[in-house]
Amino acid sequence: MNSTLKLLQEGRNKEIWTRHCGFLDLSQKEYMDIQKRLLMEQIELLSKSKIGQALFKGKTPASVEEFRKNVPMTRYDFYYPFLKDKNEDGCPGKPYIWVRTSGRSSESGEFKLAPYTKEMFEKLGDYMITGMLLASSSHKGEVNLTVNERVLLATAPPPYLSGLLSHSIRNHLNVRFLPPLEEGEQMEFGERIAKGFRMAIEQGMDYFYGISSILVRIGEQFEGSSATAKPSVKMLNLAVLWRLLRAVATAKLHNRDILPRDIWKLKGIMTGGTDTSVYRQKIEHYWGKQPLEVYASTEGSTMATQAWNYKGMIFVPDNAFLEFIPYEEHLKSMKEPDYTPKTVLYDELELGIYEIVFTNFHGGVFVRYRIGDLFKVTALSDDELGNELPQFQFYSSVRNIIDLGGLVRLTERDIWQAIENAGVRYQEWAVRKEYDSSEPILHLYIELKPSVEIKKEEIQKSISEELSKLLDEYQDFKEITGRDPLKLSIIPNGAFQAYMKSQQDLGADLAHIKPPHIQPNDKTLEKLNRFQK
Amino acid sequence: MIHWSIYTIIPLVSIVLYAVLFGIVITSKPFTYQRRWFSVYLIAMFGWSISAFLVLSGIGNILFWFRMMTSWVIISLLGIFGFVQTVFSKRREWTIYVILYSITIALLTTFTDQVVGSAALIGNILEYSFHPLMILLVGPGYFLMLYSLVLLVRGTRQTDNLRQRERFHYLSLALIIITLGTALNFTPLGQYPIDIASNGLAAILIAYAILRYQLLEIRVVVRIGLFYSIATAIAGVLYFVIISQVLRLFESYTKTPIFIISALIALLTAIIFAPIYTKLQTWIDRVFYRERYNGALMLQRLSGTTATLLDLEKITDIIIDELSNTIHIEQIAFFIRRHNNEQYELFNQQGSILPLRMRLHADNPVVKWLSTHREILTKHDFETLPIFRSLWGKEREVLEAFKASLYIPLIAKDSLVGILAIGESRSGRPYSKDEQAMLTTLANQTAVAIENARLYEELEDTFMQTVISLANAIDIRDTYTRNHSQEIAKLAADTARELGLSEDEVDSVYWGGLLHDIGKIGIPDSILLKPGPLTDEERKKMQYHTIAGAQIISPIQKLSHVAPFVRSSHERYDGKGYPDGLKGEEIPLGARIIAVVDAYSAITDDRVYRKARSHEEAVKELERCSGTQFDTKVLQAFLRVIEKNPEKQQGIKH
Repeated sequence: MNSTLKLLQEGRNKEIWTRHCGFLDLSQKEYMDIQKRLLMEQIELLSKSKIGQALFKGKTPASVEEFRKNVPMTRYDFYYPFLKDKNEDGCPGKPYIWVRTSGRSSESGEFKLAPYTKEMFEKLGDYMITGMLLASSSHKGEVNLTVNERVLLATAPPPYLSGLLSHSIRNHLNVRFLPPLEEGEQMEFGERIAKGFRMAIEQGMDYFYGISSILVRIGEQFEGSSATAKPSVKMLNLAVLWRLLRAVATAKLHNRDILPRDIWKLKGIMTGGTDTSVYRQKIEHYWGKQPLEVYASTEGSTMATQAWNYKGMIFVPDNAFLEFIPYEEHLKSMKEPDYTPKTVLYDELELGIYEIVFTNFHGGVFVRYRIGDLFKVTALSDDELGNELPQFQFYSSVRNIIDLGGLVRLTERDIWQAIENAGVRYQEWAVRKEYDSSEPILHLYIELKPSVEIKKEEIQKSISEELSKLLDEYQDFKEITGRDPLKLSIIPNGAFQAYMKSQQDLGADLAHIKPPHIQPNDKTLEKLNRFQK
Repeated sequence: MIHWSIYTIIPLVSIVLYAVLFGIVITSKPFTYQRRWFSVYLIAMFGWSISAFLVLSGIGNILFWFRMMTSWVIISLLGIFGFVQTVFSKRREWTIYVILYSITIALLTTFTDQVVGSAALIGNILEYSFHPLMILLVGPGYFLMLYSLVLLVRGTRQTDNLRQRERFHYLSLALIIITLGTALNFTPLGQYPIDIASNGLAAILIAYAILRYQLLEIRVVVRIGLFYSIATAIAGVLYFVIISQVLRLFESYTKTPIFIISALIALLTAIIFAPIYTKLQTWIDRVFYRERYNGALMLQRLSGTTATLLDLEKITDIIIDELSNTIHIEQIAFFIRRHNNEQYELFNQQGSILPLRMRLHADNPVVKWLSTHREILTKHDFETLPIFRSLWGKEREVLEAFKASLYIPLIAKDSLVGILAIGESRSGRPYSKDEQAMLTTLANQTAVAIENARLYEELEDTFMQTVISLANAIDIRDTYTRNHSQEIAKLAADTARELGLSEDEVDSVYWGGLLHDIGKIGIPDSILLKPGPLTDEERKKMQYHTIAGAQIISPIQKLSHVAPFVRSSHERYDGKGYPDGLKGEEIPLGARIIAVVDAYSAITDDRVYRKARSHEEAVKELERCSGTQFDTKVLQAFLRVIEKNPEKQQGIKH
C-alpha cells in the first residue's frame, strides 16, 4: 500500500484527500455497512479471547442485533482484571502499544490502561492526518499538507494518547516537531512549550495540536506585550527577520500589538476538550485560524472530528462501533444502576443529547463501553459538506454536570462560557454544588488576574446574567425559586499556582496537577484555602 | 505612434490568454498553493506580454520596457519553480533565498543597465544586447528550470498512478517548451516573439494539467500533433514541388490562368496524397499503438475460442495464457461466482500466492463495489476509497499480498459473475488507458462464455449428483449397503495409485469404481435379486448393464472419459468377458482394476445366492484367476493395497 508520504511526494492530492477525508462523503448506508462489517470482525476476534468469552458467555453473537441484545454494556472495572500489569492474554488482538489515561479505575484506583493493536495505532496516525488536512483546508479536496511540516510539540508524552499521536504521524509525514520528539519528551511540559515557541520563531510553525488554553495564554502574553523571546544567533537569519518584519508591519498597519498570527501563518490548529468551543473566537483572534475540534479518548482512540467548516463533529466510521443512549434513557440508568438503557445506532439518531457507547474495532478490548461522555446531535446532515452524516457537539462528561434541584443542568462548558462572556479576566476557576440552608447553590471559586480590581458583586452579577443568557433553564430557576443560585468566592492571587506547584512536588500525574473545574473535592478546596492564607 | 505587425499581435493575444487563464485559476476551488504559484507565473507572463507589446509596438521607452520584460522572465521562472515544488509537496529551506535573489535580480535588471545593455526597434525588428551580468539571471534561472524538470521526470518514473504520470508528462512538456522558448532569446530568433508564443502554449498545457482531473493521454496528443504536422508538411512539399514544376512547364506554353492550374494541381495532389495519408496513419498507429494491435489480435483470438468452449478451466486457462503473453502480467486470478451466488471463489490463478479455495463473500466491499460500479477497480481506489475500510484485517492482508493492480468485473446477464484480478505488469509500470480498455473489452467478451461454462458446470454437477444418487440407490438394491460403490471406488483408486498412475488417472479410476454398476438401474429386481442361476435371456439383460452404464455417463463431459472403464469392467484378461470380448491390454487399465476390486467384493460380500467368504478364500480365488480373468500386475497391486488395509479384508461393505 502506498504510504501517505509517498502520495504527498508524488503530489497525488486527490488520493490523499479521499483516503483521509473521504469518509465525510459516505452515505448513511455505506457508513453503516462499514460499522456492521467491522463489528462482525471484532466479534470473531473477541470470541477467541478471554474478554470476549467472558462477555459472550458461550454464545457468540451471529449478528449485530444479537450483539446489541445479548452483550452487556461495560465500564472500565470489568476490564481491570484482564488488563492489569499489561497482561496480553485476555486481549482479542495482540497489543502493539499500551496507552494510559489520567483517569483511574474505580475498583483498583490504578490508572486505566488500554492496549492498542498495530492496526489501531496506524489508524491513530491516519486520523491525525485527517485532522491536519481538515484543519488546513477551506474546501473539499484542498490539500495544504507538505512534507516536513513543522508542528509544535504541545502535548503530554507517551504513554498518554496525545503523546502517541505525535509518534503515529512521525513516519507518515516526516513531521518536524518543535522541539524534536526525543528531546521534547524528556522536558517538563512548560519547558517543552517554551522551547517549542523559541524554535517556532526561528524555523516557523505550521500546525498546533493540543490544549486550547496554551494558545490563548500565548496570545494574551502577546497582547499584553509580555511575550519575550531571547535573541539568539540562530535568529539571525533572513527567514526570522522576514517573519518579524512582516509581523511588525502588519501590527502597525492595524494599529495594535503584534499578535501570534502576525508572526506565524498557521495552516491548522487541532484541539480537543471542553475549552475548544469556549476559546474558539479568542484563538481565531490571536492565531488567525479557528481550532478544529477533535474528540478522542484513550479507550476509543480518535473518534470524531469537525470538518473544514468548523460545524459539528462527525464520528469516523472505522475505529469503533457506535451506539447512543438517548438522554432520557441515560438519566434513567443513572437513577437505577441495574437498568440497561436502550441504544440507537448512528443512522437512527435524532436531534438531542445522547450518551455514547462504543466497541473498539481492529482487536481493541472495549466492548459496549460506557466512557461517560454525552454528545448533542446538532444536525442530521450538512448541505455545506454535502453529506448526510449526523453532526455532534461535545455536551459534557457525565461527571461534569451540575444538577440544581432537577431544574437546571450546568455543564463545565456552560460555566466557562459564561465567565468568558462576562469578560472577567481570570487566572483559574472551580465550581461546586453546595447547599446553603438546604438550598442548592452554585459556588464558583475564581482567581482573578493580578491587575484586576476586585468588584465581587459586579463580577457575580455579570456571570449570573451570562448564565441566564446561555441557559433559559437558569433564568427559569431564578424566577421559580426567587433567588440567584450563584455564589462567588474570590481566591487570592497565586493560590492555583501554589496548588499546582505543591501537586508537582508531590509527584502528581500530569493530568492531576490542576484542580478540576467541576466539583473539586473538599481536600482540594481546603488546599486552595490554605494557600490563600 | 504604434507599430502594428504580426509581432505585436502575438503579445496582444498572449495578454488576453494570460488574463483568461489567470481568471480561471483564481476562481477555481480550492485555490491551493499549487494554483497560487501558478498564478505567480501567469501574472509574470501577463506582465511580460504587456512589456513585450509595448516594446514591439514602440510605445514609450523601449529600453525600459525591455528591461521590465527581462525582469518578468525571472519572476516567471520563480513561479514555475514554486509551482513544481508544491506539486511534490516539497518545502525547501532555501526557497526564501530563491525568492529574495529573484526579486533582487529583477530590480537590478529593471533599474540599472548592468544586465540589459541596449534595446531598440529597427523597423519591426527588435535589436538588443545583454551585459555579462546577464549570467546572474540566466544561470540560476536555468538551474531552477532544470531542477524542476528533474523533479518531474523523477516523479513520472516513480509514480504508479497513471493519471499522475500523465499530469507529469504535460508539465514536463510545458517546462521543456518554456526552456527552449526562452533559450531562443540568445539566438537571432530572439527578435521574434517565439518565446512569448511558446510560453503561451506552456501556460495552456499547465492549466490543462492542473485544472482537469482526467487528462488526455499525452501519447494521443503527440500522435495527433505528429500526424497532422507530418501530413501537412508532406502535402505542402508535394504541392509546392508539383505546382512549381507544372507552372514552369505551363507558363512557357499556355496562357491558362494560374489559379485554375493551382486548383487542378491541388486536386491532383490530394488524389496522390490520399494513399500516403492512409499509410502515414497506419505507420503512426503502429509506432504508437503496437500494444493496441497486439491486444486487438488477442481479443479476436479469444472471442473465437472461448465462445465455443464450455469448460471453465480451459476458458480461464486460455485467457490467462493470452493475457500473460500479450500484456505481460505477473499475476492473474479468476474468482467465479459460486454457492448460490453468496461467494466468489478463487477458480484459477497464475503466478500468485492466493490461498486455494479463497473466497470473497458477496458482502465483501470489493465485490459490492464491482457489482455497483461495473467498471475497473484500480489499486489506488482500493487503497483510498472509504468503502474499503470495512475490509477485515485478514482480507486486506490476502488482497494486498496478491498486489492486484486492477480488479475487473465480469458482468453477464446484468450481474457480476466473476472477478478478474490483475497483478502488476512485468515492467512494473501502471496499465495504460488502452490496456485497461482492452481488459474491459476482454472481460465483456468473455463474461458470457464464463457464465455459460459456469452454468454448464453447475448443471453437470447437478447431473453428477443425480448419477451418484442413482449409484447409491443401485447399491442398496443390489448389495443392501449404501457405500458399496464408494468402497470399491476407494480401493480401485488406491490400487491405481499403487500402480503409479497420475492423480488425474487415479481420479478417473475412482469415478469408474463409483459408477461401474450404474447400468443396473435398468435391470428388474427379478433378475438382479434372483437367488438361483440366470437364464440365457436374463444373463444377456444382466450383461447389458455395462453398456447401459457407459451410455448414461458418456454425455457428461466431466465423466465421459470414465465411460470406457464402466463398459469394460466385466471384460476378462483372457478375452472371455463381456460386452466386447476385449483381451489383455485392449481392456482399459481402469476397467481391469475395477474388475479385480469388484470380484474381491463379490466374494467377500453377502449375496442373495450365497454367504460371504473369508478374505483368505477371496485372495486364493483371485490368485487362481490371475492371468486368465485378471491382469496379474493389477491383481498383485490390489493385494498389496488390501494387505495394507486390514479393515478392508473383512469385506468391502464393512
